[in-house]
Amino acid sequence: MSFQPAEHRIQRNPIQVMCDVIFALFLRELKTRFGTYRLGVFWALAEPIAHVIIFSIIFGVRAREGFGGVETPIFIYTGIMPFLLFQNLFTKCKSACSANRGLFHYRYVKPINTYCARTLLEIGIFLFTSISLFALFWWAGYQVAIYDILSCLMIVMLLTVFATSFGMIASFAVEFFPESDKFLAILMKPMMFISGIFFTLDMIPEKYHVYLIWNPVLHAVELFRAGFIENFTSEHASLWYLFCCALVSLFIALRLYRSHWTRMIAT
Amino acid sequence: MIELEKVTKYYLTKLGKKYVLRDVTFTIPEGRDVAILGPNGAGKSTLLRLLGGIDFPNKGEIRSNKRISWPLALASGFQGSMTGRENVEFVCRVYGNKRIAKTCDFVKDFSEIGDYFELPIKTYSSGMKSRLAFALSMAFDFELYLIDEITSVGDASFRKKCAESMAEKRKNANVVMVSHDMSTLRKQCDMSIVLQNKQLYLFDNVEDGIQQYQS
Repeated sequence: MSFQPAEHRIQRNPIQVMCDVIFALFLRELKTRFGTYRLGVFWALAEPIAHVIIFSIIFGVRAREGFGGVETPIFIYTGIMPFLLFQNLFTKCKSACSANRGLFHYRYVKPINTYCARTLLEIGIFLFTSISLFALFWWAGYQVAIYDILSCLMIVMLLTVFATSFGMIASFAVEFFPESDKFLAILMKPMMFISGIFFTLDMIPEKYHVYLIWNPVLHAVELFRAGFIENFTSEHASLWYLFCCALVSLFIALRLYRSHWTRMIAT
Repeated sequence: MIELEKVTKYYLTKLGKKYVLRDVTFTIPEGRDVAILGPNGAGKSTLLRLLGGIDFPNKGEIRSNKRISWPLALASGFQGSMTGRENVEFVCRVYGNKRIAKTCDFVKDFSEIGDYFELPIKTYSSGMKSRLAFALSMAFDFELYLIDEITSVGDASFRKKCAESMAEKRKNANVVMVSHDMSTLRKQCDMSIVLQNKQLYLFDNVEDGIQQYQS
């Protein structure tokens, strides 16, 4: 047989190995995500579009002139995009290891790579859907303009760190106590309604803030809007709080990972 | 050479810790082909996984300077939702093999699974899975192959092909082999390890190991 086996005697340093593995996992995730459906990538767009339309119909009837200084669909858009980023990152990272368990059969594939690959893919999907919807709005004749794009990107980064870390912590929780999956599902149910997608914190009477303001996703949504919409300011959202939440959850996630990562591989 | 130093491995079960290895220290010397013997459930496959670096001891350390294959086992190693080709591509990328298309052609040819190569692994029969697994491992150059019962699958002609290509590899590679087929072990290996009572017993030839195991 004329085939020469792979000359993988080429020395790769650990960083290169990690990049190779993340890239391989990324392509695998991409394929299983979009390759199996007939309309493929369209489904990534369908979810945010459906949310924007449904919420615009429900809430647009009451406030015709829109909330927060912009038309209702734009307002919903600026809320649902960061929220979906959070939700998808959380659920995907929570199941990152269990979905790839068969691939830990190859020694270079480590759990951290599965988290990284899924996070990268979610960021990619977020950017793709955000830009596509933005273009759609523009095409449909809405007034769209990003007021402060750097601040928006910073919020997206902080939210990504928070959501990925939270997802990692959840994946360990589920590994150690399988029951916690049910608990987390219940916990995540109301998130869509308390994260400020179709209201702003300033619309809520101050005495009820105590029930909402602990939620870092609400802060992220408010801050994202403040960056996106020119005349929108949020009195109560705190960048410092979001930053601390991201940092603390990242610390806990990495700490858990460092001491328990082998548990994720064991069958 | 593979060194195990004070390796302890257990599994947590409902009935408490189930030990596979307890405080085991030994060295597999350079250039030897090792047969691993032991009753069912003694942890032979776990030992292979430990050597392959895809499972980890609870205490102690395993050191090696070799390029070790993944354990060539019957059941595991593929993601069922991916096609055969996607799995092969994945492994190429992970191991830094840049010639993905050529490797895919080789694996498809060698495994003789035809069109199934483009279908998800979960549609395969167990025989096809092991053919693919074996073909894939033949597309890579390792210094040590970990073989878990896989040589005893397939029909006669495929087995013959496996034996030939394995013999080719064996010119500059060694094997660690788990099998219940004593004649295979006698033919392929020149030393043996018996896994008994959470301990490993090393024998300098296969025959003594088989006697210990069967006694």
